[in-house]
Amino acid sequence: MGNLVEVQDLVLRFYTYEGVVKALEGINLQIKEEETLGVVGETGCGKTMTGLSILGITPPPGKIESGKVLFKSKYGKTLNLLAQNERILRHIRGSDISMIFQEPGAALNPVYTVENQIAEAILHHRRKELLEKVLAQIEKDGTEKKIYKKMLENPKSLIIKVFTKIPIIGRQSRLKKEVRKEVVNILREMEIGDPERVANMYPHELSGGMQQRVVIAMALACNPTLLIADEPTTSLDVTVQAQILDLIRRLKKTFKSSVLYITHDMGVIAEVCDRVAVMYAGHICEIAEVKELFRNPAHPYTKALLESIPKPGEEFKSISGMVPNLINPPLGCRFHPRCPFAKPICAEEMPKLKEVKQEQFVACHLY
Amino acid sequence: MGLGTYIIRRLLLLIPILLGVSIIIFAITEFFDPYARASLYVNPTKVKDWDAVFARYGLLDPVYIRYVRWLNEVIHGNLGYSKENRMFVVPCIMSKFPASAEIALFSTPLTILLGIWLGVKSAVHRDKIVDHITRVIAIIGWSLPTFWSAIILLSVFYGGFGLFPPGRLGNAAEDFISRGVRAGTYTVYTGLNTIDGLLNGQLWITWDALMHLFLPCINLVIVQIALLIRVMRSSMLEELNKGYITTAKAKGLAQGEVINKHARRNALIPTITLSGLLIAGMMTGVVITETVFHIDGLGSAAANAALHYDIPFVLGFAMFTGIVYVLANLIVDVLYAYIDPRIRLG
Amino acid sequence: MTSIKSKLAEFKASSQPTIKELKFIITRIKKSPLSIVGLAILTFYIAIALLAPVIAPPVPPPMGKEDPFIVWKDLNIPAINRTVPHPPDATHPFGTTEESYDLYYGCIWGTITAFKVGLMVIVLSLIIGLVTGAIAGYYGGIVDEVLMRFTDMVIAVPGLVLCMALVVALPPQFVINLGFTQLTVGLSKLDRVLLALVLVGWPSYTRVIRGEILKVRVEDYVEAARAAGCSDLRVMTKHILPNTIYPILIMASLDTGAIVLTAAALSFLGLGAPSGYADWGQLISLSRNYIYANLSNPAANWWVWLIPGIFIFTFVLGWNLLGDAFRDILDPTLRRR
Repeated sequence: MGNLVEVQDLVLRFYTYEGVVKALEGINLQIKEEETLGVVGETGCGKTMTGLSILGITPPPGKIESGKVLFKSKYGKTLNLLAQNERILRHIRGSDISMIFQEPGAALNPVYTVENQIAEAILHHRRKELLEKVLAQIEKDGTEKKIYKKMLENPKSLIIKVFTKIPIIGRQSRLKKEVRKEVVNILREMEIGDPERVANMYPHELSGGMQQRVVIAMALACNPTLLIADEPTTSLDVTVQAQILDLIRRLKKTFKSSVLYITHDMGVIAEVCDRVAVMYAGHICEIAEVKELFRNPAHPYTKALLESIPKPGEEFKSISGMVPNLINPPLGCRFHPRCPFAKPICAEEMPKLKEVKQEQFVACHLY
Repeated sequence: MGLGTYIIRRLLLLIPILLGVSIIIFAITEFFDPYARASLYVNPTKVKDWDAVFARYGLLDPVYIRYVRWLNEVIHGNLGYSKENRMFVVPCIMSKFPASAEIALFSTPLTILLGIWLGVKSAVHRDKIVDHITRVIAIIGWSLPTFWSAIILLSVFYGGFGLFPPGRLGNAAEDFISRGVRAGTYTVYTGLNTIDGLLNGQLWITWDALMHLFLPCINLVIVQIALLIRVMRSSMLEELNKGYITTAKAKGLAQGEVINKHARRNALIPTITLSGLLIAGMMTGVVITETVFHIDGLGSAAANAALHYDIPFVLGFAMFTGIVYVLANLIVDVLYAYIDPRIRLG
Repeated sequence: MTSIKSKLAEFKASSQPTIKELKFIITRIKKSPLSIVGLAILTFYIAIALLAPVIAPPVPPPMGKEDPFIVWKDLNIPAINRTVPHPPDATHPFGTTEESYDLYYGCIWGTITAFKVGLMVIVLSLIIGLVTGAIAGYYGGIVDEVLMRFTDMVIAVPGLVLCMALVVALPPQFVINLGFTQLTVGLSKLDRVLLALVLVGWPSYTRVIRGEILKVRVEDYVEAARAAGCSDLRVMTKHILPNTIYPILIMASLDTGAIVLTAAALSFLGLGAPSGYADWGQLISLSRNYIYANLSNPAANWWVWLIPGIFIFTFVLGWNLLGDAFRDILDPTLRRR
């Protein structure tokens, strides 16, 4: 399996009133095809920003200073996403790469129905496919067929734009029916019991778990090869969390997509991921296969993280010190002020990712 | 609860609110002595037997009886006699209403559409030139006294260039209409010259009316638009920070679609509730604008009445505007429920 | 010695966040040129108001009157010419209006009137609004319902219209019967305008304050204060009100401008200050005949309406800019950019 995504030396900075926040300092990641890569770390370490950077939707005042994000698109071509213009990126967003977020309630627009919002994604990316399906259905060669043909050939023509605005004639009911079929299908894939009913509902009428399923449906509606999931279960309660994780695992197999799973919960990593990257204060400390990471953590930070997971009967262990201020981060390895194994070189030079064992990379001067 | 049930509920709520308005108006009449109050019912110049009048309308009875009798009169369409206009208040309001309605009809949509468009542009290009210019224009408009801007507009355009004269119609049009009405060739359908001109096939009258309407409408728009721009801008800014915007971008939608389809619809919600205030502002603006531009409408009549202590007309006008405002708010609330499903379902 | 030093150090440390906030506020003010303009305008007008007796000294009778707020008439102009406005010259820097009122004097002392009207109405409306809004918001239930319906009724009639009705209705004097004596409170025309503005204005404050209190009431720190045994009054004054202050400040400064505009409009229509009073709207109202007399050339008597109008416009602009500046500074979404 080749690499689906390769992030090379990604540098992201935020220019704020209080100074320049060095959010991501040279991130190197690979996401293979059909694998789940977890990104774990404390709040503020840059996990979400990594995901947003891949899609190119980092919020201002953030600027990507340098780096490459190589992505193998559906057509087989490898592109550097950071070098593409908006038009191409818009084709990729939602279709090749999708992202889901932490609060499903906030991610859905409260004034539009579920169907409307999923249909938006489908119509934006799969319009041609659906129009062809509709054309195949119409037997008679009449005005209807001509209009749909026109829509297929020249969607931006003035006639089509005007026609679709006319109240009753411009309804495009055939297309709408096809879209609705797709919407109901995808909702059913999400293991939603009554997809027809849910499609007509508004987001605030659904529970948190339902909302997240709708969000996932929206993300997977166009069969993306990469799904970036930014803490999708953090705001849900534990039982719902288990269901959603289950769902994601099964969907990965059905849709054959990779998942970049961002979380701060080591337990979730153990459940869902194949490999995992540990991030701290804007750089990657360790990348390893999940089992290896839990058995033999290499980086001191990883070790500390695993130790701090509460175990019944044992004393509560926490990591001493505080997360650094990213406007003035410590020089060299950003973890060194809190690291029990710190050496003088750690305060001078930022360690690079080195392959310590088969498929285990660590950025630490101990190795 | 569907939209229909919501509308019915709001309509039922209308009754106590209208009663409330009537109570306020009635409370004001309490400041006057019985003779003055008599003009709220009859033409005082024609009264022969004051005792009969007092008895009939209970003018010497306790407050609650007086209120009920007064309310009864109001419901039957009697708001009193206006000494300034020498006719009863209700027919007087009806006759002067079209002039004011015409101004409001042209100003309101213009204000709303322009305000929304500028507010969105301002929010999207925040802190850039467009934003700064729009905000400066808005704040200048908000600080202008309506009568002063009216005078300036009149002086510059009419005094300086001879365009857009004051009044409702030029002399030629006025003559044509009055002769036409007498001869039966010209029918006054609505009282609004722009529409009547069209319906009678006399487009030059419509044009003339529009020329006369231009400055009063601009005056009202300048003053009202500021509020709309400000609210639209701030609610757009709030919406643009929300989660569903990031989701929309992640879906691959273009910036224009994200703004217009997603953010704007949500941002319109607080702006719509403001439209009620817009109507109120329209009605106060009309009083001053009509006075300066010499338009014989409700506003100038009310100003004149107040100056001459013509209490029934002033109170009748207050009642009228109160009712219009309450109805406008009802429509706004229904629109609000239509756009935001959380209101009717939540 | 050391205890004082340590206390000073403690105070310094504990006030660091406040100092930081103040520094931030000052930076934001400096960054926004419009707020500086607003502050400058208002300072300018405050100066004029304070220096009025100096820069426009009251003229003794027979040209002026006892009350310095009545604008003096130039009786030196022969009676035939007195009804016509005169353009600005040496004795009358801003010219005269109909009836030979000196426009300069009127505008300068009009500043004091403007401040008087604006601030008095705001303060009174605020006080009434605070009390009623706090009661409605904090206690809720029936009290809240009744108060809200009442404010609904007053707000239902648009501001200026209701003001007009009230100004016409309010009597020139109030007789209050105190049993053993009778108090006659005289209401001058201007007093009636003030009273009308307050009566029309307080419901908006009530609603805003009530809204803010409802928002703050459910915050955890209020629960905590009550759990710690604070009385209602203490919770209200120490916890709830300080957190609702900012939106109210913004509303008050923006409203001052609106009040002055409404008062000017009433004066323009002839319902406000009496003829000859030093009030900007009134001065423009005096000129009404001369606007229409020369409609084809209104610029003929430009000083009559342009100058007082500029005063009104810039005064209100200053308050609006200030209110806007407050809002921008206190808006959390604009921070730290």
